[in-house]
Amino acid sequence: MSRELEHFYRVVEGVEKIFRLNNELARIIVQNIEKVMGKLVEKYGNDLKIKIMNFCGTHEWTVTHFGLRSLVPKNIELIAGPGCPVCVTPSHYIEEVLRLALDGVVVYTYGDTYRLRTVKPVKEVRSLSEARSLGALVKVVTSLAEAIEDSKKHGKDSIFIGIGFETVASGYAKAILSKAIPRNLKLLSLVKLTPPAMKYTLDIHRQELPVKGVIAPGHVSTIIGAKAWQKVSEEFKIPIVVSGFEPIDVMFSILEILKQLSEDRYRVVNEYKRAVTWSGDEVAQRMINEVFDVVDDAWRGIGFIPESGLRLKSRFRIFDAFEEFKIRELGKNEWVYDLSPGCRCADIILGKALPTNCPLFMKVCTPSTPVGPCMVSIEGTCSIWAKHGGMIAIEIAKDLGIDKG
Amino acid sequence: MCWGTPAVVVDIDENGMIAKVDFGDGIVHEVFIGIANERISKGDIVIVHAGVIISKFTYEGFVEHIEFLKEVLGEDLQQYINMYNTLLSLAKLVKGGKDE
Repeated sequence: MSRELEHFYRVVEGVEKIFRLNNELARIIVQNIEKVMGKLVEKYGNDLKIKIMNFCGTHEWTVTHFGLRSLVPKNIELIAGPGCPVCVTPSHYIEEVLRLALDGVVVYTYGDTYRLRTVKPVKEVRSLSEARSLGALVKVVTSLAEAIEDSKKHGKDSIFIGIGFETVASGYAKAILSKAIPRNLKLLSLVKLTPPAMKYTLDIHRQELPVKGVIAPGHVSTIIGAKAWQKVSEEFKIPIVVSGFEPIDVMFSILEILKQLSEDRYRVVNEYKRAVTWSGDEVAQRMINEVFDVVDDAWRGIGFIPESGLRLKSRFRIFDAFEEFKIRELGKNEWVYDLSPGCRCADIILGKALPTNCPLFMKVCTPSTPVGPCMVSIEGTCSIWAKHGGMIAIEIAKDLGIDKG
Repeated sequence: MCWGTPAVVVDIDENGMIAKVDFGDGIVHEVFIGIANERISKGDIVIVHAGVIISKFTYEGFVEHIEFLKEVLGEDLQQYINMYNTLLSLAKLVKGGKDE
């Protein structure tokens, strides 16, 4: 084994030991959470409900997979937010790509998008996987780099479906700026921006029970920096904690939110210090600004959110799939609700409903036969709840007599 | 879309555009360096997201993390001393791996 690999194993094992498999620390954090909650209940009464939103699909995975809802007091409601780019990519663009796929264009896509179902069929086809079964050249890749390498080999007209958040944008920008993309491959930028979506979601909750704290996306923040959440925290007067993805990270972030609430403070705190800095990566931010324009963009089932998407600037049009393949942009006036009848994915994405509130969940919509986008993506709340049990940890805790209710 | 996987950098191309990384299974993958090139060198442990390097583990990052834990948990530091020591060794490990 190489020295690098051996060193890598030791570090990864160390991280897991401290942030994942650390019962002692978990117990201490739980005790601290209970202590601070005690103070809050004393101040605001027993009926106090504190709604904390995790923005990111990977945080929802951590919360559900590790049963964290069973470890927090019953006054805390942990809800999932819109942090799943596959879930929020409008059906329209997938329909446009289906048309190209059926016309012989080679399509490169991430695995989740491959199974995404459209609302309207294109020549009776509703997903890229169905198109492939009819002979279309649809290739599943894990990165743009893989698509570049493969498309160079065959030289045919090709498209890469560039979904994602800020995390992928700098990689796409680098590929464009360094002219690494061959002439036959075009990028369909469907990148979405997270702070505008967070503001939109928090605003919706203001009308009911407002969100009192946010667990902000750690890996998005490696690029945009913890500073990116400052304005949101100030506007909504709530604590925002940029968090890592291990269970100890998330529990720590919940504790920090409660501490701020108990002291009537609100500020942005970076918990994920081992990977995120306050300013983020300034080179990455510059590359993104150089290559992309910020546009008002449509979110599936939700509609347009101002300044929430990225498209290639016109001077990079030779790389742009919209230009090359005459892909129609979705106009604000023509956007229509793009989820299947009965599917409550939009409400689930906005944290207004739980997967178990959806009439289709685990009846007709399952991980092997997904109807809505939230059941397709590994970061979709429905898929996570289907695989890891949603509230089941609370029921198990009750059975064992160790629940917090 | 925050799924990130740690990997070790085994090589970097001369333009600083693409790095070869190993996720721990011995298979080498090419990924874009999505952050400042200067931050990445051979032997670094990085976080890769959808084929893009988005961050790396640093000694300073772990030390800051320890400080944060101390700050949030408050006074009873003595009872967590083992944990701090483990974290500190981890931080040193991250730093030491490259220079040894």
